[in-house]
Amino acid sequence: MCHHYRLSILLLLFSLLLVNPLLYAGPKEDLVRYQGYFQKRFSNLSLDDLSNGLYNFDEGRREQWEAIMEFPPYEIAIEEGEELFNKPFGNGKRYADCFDNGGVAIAHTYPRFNAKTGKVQNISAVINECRVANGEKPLRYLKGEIVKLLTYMADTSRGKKIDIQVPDDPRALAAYEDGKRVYFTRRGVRDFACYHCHWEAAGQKIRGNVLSTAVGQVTHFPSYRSKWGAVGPIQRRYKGCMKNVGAVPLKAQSDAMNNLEYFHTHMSNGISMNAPGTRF
Amino acid sequence: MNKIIFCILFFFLLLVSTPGLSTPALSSSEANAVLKQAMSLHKQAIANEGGWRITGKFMKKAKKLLDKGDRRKALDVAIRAREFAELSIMQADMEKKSWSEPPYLK
Ligand code: HEC
Repeated sequence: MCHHYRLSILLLLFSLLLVNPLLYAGPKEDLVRYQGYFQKRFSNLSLDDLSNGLYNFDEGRREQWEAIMEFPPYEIAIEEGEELFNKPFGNGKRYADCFDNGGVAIAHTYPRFNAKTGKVQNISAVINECRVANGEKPLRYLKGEIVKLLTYMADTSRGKKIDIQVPDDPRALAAYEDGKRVYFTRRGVRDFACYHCHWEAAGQKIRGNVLSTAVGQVTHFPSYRSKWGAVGPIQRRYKGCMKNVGAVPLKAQSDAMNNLEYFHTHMSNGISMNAPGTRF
Repeated sequence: MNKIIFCILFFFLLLVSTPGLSTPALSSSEANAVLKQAMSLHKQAIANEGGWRITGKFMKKAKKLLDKGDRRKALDVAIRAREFAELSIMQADMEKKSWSEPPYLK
């Protein structure tokens, strides 16, 4: 009797072990589910279409946008960014020395997991790491010179498909999962998580704005916003959405923000970059 | 005689009309203490990634009222700020434990 009991427990454990890998969903399975949700819901739109955000749903705004794009307001930032990018540091080295492929056509692969530090790094973090390593002062994040550099670098990835890797390293997976937590966490006095607006309410109006789909949101960042009167990186946009639900926004370049960017960018894997872009 | 009654009445009226004495005394330290608690809770909420902006707004308002000497109102507003801070911590704790994807994504 006792023997039977033990045997059945062993069998149970064994079957759990067998089933578990099937139950466990990693980034790859997430991608199929997340992109599948929007493809099913908006079957008239391709994955690349999703990168046009709210303009998929608002004819009037789309026309304004197309008019603006005849003389894109981010052109100057690309030019200035290229100049800054190619200007050597005091020690003669350049930004190009700190990136794969000299920093050209790599923006669609960021943020990346850094195996040395065990943390996620976006391009801004690498830019500042590069500056410090070469005896320069780090730039402030979110505004100014760093955004111009991002703008130029993103432009060299235009048309490339977003390709965020979560390498086979428990720390990388943990960072991705932490980003998922940040994404699905309700915050602020309004008690909203990102998904309340950008999944179930995507395509609908909220206080005069039509909501974009979560998948496809990252492809045009950094982006010029008329509200900012400048190009800004995605973490600046995240902060805006957090403020809108009454939350004290998370700190730019904090682990939580970087992990959020990692998770949020990954869900657009396979969609073409069209950064820099413009939004109102 | 009339003069004495008048004097007593006069002083009584003076007493009643002095705001600090007519109502039970409220020192600024009460509102200050609540404000300090609110500030420390708000800090804790932010460290838990769960701060609310309205907490900060109410703390600022309470401080302004204190500077103006309106201790009673300052205390009320500081108490509200402390409540917001407590609620924001509760939200952050709950979310850390029980956040989930919406059912339609499963
Ligand atoms: C209360 C609703 C709401 C919530 C919650 C919300 N957002 Fe937004 N978000 C908006 C609105 C409105 C816009 C502007 C219209 C648009 O582009 O969707 C926007 C825009 C964006 C954009 C820019 C899209 C583009 O095409 O340029 C990004 C990126 C974004 N949100 C990310 C997030 C993230 C990440 C979260 C969670 C931290 C979040 N949002 C939470 C309402 C919300």
